[in-house]
Amino acid sequence: MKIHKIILLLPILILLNCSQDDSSTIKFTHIYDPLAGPQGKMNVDWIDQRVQIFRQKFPGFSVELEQAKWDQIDTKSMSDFRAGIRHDVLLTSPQILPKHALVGDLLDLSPFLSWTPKKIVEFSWSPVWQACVYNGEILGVPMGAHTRLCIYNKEMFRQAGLDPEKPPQNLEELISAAQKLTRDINGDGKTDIWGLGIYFGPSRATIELAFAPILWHFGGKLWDEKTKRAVFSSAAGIKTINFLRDLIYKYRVTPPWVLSGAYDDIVLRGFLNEKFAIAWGWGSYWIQPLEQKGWLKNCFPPHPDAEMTRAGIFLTPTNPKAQFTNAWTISVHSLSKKPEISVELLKEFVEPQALKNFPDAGLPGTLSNWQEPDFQSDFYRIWFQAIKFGRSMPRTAHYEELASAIAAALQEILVKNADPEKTLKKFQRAYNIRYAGE
Amino acid sequence: MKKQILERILIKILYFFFFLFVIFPFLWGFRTSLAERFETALIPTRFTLMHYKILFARPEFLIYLKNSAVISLLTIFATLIIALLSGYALARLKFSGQKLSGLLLILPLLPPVAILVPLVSYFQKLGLYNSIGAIVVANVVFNLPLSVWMMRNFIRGCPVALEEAALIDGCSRISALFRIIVPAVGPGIVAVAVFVFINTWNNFLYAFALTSSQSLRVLPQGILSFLGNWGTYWGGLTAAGILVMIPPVIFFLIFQKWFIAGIFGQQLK
Amino acid sequence: MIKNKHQEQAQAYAMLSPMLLLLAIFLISPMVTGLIMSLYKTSLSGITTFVGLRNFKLLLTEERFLTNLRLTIIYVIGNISISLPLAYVLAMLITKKLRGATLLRGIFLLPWVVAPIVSTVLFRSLVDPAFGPLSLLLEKISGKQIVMLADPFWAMGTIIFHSVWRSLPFMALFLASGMTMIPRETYEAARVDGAGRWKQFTSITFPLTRIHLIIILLTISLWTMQDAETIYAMTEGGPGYSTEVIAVRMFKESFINFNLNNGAAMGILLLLLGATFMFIYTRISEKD
Repeated sequence: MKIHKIILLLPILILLNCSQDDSSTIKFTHIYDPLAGPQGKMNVDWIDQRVQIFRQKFPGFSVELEQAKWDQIDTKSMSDFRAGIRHDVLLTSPQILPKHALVGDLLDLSPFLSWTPKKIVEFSWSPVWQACVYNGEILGVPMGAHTRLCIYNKEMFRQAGLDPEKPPQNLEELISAAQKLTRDINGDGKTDIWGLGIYFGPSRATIELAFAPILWHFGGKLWDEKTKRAVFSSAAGIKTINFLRDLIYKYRVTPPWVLSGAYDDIVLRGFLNEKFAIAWGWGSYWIQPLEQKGWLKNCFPPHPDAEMTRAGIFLTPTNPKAQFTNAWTISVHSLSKKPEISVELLKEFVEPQALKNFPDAGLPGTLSNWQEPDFQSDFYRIWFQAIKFGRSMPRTAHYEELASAIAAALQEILVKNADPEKTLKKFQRAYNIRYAGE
Repeated sequence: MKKQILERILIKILYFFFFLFVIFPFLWGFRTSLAERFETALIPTRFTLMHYKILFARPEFLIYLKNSAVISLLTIFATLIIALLSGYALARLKFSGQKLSGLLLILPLLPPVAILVPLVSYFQKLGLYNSIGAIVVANVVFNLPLSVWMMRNFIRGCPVALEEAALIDGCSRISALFRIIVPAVGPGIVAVAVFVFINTWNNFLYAFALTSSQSLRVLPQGILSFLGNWGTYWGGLTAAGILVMIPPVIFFLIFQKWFIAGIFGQQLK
Repeated sequence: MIKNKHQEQAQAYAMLSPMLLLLAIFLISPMVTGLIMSLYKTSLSGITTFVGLRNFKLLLTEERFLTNLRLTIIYVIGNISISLPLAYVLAMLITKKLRGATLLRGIFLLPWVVAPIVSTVLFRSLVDPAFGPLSLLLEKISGKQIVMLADPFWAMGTIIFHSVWRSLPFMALFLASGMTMIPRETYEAARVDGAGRWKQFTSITFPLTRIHLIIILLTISLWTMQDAETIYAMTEGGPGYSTEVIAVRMFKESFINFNLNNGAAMGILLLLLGATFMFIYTRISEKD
């Protein structure tokens, strides 16, 4: 009969193994796996440090780290909210905050933060803050500034007979420079250096970094805030598509392989491996690799004597000079049993001096950092402008669906050579049937 | 005679072709795990253990390893006991509703992805969410139908005589099962254990959906995180892939004979 | 005797109960919850309304979902039509007595032993446009640079190739186990009658392993159909929606887009699709 007992014990054993939901444990959900290469490790190390400091201040509380994938953390927060699963502090994406606002899984921080107007200015200067405030509620605090601009290889400019200190100012100049820069070096009939690297792969990045900035240039919009409908298939939308398509098929300054893979694999690797003379959508989180490669001097970590030796940067040469600008934001879950303490932990993470060292900040999101001498170089002044020109994505609660609909339309047009107008209209209709009016 | 030699050569070539087909991705992964970052030559000029070292720079890899091991062992243990009991009942006992046992083979029709969302709130209500127990239960449940079915077939295949002698001697069903059947179907049990181990060790979905704590992550989740926000770190990814592969491959190669005999039939042993 | 019978019955139920309990709680009832969910619509703010079959109607009239469905069928049939003939060849090789065959048999099963996630990333690096040997080979053959995962045809091709690689060894071993059950004399008799290799295959091997064929077809079809993680890790369903099978779409709806009701409806449709395959296979096996 011993066996009987073992079998009966088994479920009990498993149940004992269960985690106790202890409210003196503050749960912090982030997206960094220390295994995912050196960058992942740096971020987790930074988090550990902040948690240490928090625990010294609040010895009665412990912090449990939780982890989700970067493109799933927002949904996890929402579906866990529905299932009654508690989180306390978590990273969120500003693009998804409108959806969070409807679901109600994030706490309005305004009664808790009790920040002076001066303190609020620290954050509110950046476009990311605008995305954090929804119907007067503060749903998140930016942890940095991820913006994008264009980068170019000065050596290649010189070789093509272009002035390495005069990057293109508008789209016409960009194309004519890119045409001069596109070259077959070894004479085997294949292009070795492409004038312009820009990403059109199957992810959100395509609409954020390529489609939207050019659509803004032509005066278009992705989504209309008043009617709450997708409007990307406007005349401006078609112009945008034609512009992007021409880069590959008419001007031949962009290789067809930008249609696949990850944004980083294409833009970051392409530029560092000298496949691109100019790269569009260069992220503020990619300054370190340039310094490592020796193409920048004293730029990372920032220093007043920063110098752009081999690589140069310029603002996106569209008319509003706007690039998509976001950051990771940090929020408090509304099922938190200890909102006050959770907000204290949140504050620990958004301390300006701490954020300065946050590896995934991209650039500082806090104004006081920008006034330090380290950030007064030409290099960082251009980045600062880029942030100020930056824009957010439309405030639709169905942002991911909008982004994937446009990315899919683009892919169909660029890969399968579908008719631009019909395809855009088709995808817009499919989106509006489901989500128009929210 | 000539024709036979020709045939032998053809067979060898075919064997070699299949061998290459199966093994090439592994060789490539092994190569990438030893090559320097951004190396593009088919056979790199310099080899490095850097990517393996990075994996152990922080304790997480070992934590994931431990979790995967604990979950796999608990799952095997629980599945085997339940499968033995049910398999025995299906193979040896008569009861009404026995004909419904074929339903076991229909259960795998249910796509796991489809039930995960309701499952999350079930586990939350049971207080099991975000625990090793949750992952173990999910793995046991999804492995059960096939394991029970296999166990039933093994028990059917072993002679009834011994067991009847024991029953007449006053042995209970349960002790007959554990004293007589278990030793007799040893290879079958090993086959089921290896089958369950491979499924559990490789599984990503249940841990992904049923836990959120960093301290409860399993290896496949770690692997997926390499395809991360900063582009793919191929060196580390393949190094981790190779390491994760080792336990099931070793298990499998050790128990290969029994496993193949158990799953595919004695003749192939 | 009658008492014994009752006792046996009670014993049987007692022994079956742990399994039945687990399956009922954690497999059947979530499925029922899923079914119920698929009949409701939940607004983002959490208001749930009964909508009957509207979710299904919306899906079945949506172009994207019809593409998902078509791609699922292409994925399953593509995988099977390539791996099945190869599996027969490999199975016949395996059943030949050859030196070192045991070890090779073990090696042949390795693709099934490694985690799907691991093999997916291995294949992704094989077709990497910058350094993957398969894309370089393709470039040599075709003379132009093809980014395999950016091209709808090649992306699906890569996915099918990967799944052939994973399922072929298992299929072959399963078929081989069927073949070893055919007595040698059957072949000898056929040879005496002057039957050639092909004739032996069509008149003996194939019909006598038919039950194995049906089981393995069903197993592999279900695995392929329910596979979301490898395609998601390989292409995320792109380029465009050109590799987005139902399972991937369902994963996206449930875990990324937070359209849980829609995801549940897709789960039900996927289940029905699986049942359809099962029905077709059993019909084939019952024929003549």
